[in-house]
Amino acid sequence: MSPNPKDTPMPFNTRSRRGFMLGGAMLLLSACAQGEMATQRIDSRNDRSAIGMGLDNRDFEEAARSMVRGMLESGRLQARPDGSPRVMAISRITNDTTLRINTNQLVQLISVELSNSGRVVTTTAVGLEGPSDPLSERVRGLSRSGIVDRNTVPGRTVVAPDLSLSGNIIQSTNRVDGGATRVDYIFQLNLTNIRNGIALYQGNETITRVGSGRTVSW
Amino acid sequence: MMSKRLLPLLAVGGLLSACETPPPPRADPRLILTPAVASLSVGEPVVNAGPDGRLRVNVDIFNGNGFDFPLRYQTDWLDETGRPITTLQSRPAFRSLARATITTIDADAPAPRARNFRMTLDADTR
Repeated sequence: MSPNPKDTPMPFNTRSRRGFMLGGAMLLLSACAQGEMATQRIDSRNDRSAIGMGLDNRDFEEAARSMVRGMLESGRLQARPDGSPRVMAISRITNDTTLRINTNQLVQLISVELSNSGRVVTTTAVGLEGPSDPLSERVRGLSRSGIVDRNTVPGRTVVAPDLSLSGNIIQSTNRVDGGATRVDYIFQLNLTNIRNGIALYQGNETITRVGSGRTVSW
Repeated sequence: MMSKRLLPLLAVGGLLSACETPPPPRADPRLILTPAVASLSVGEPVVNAGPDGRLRVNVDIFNGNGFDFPLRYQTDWLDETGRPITTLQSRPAFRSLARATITTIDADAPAPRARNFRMTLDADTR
């Protein structure tokens, strides 16, 4: 009668090999757990956290801050003669980088800051690829509704824009001495007077990183 | 014997505490300097109102060090009640101050309703 394999004592070297492998795996896991960074809350006004080779919110804020300042300082961006603010529509902002960027991140910062200046407001009813808020147009269709008071439906009261905001975000990547990588992100914005097609403001803001090529994201 | 050991300790302690004494307050309380920028010579802020009524501030900084200095500065803009105005212009900004050179730091108020400011100069230690 052959012995049951379960009852057969395991040779010492096999058992110890398994033990070593298990122990090694546990050590690796614990090392990973120790290296993991704890989640932290960051105050965006005092954000000193590490940066990478890509763009983060701080870069968009820096670019927007610098360009809005340029717009307001240019002297050409004045309110209308009656004192009411100019109306700006958002045109095409092209992301020509290897990063996945929602250009609204930049546009919204600029719109809000210009609005705070009192000289420019942004229309959400007119846009290059349709309005950012289609409800202004759709509400006007309620004049045919059987349940809405027609006197409360707005007519042709949407203000046409005076200004158009367009631009690009460009990336230029180069190897530099020492094996590091330099990445230039160039923010270009144009603010065009729609009535005559002339750019009232043309801004160029460059944000540069030099670092290990290993952290470049593309 | 005990006092002989204590005296040098007390002397060292006294010296250390003297080193930690904060610098005397600046004449202009709107400019806040952290200890990290103690090696810089910072001028008094020059404040003007632009043609549109917005305040503009210039501060000259001389970096007498033998190295470029990474400066982080932040300007809070305050309304007539002393409350900070929420604006991109109060986000931290960064400048590399070239060695042995004067650099002018400037900041513009976001709107005419900004009546005062508070500028903090610190080293960029990221």
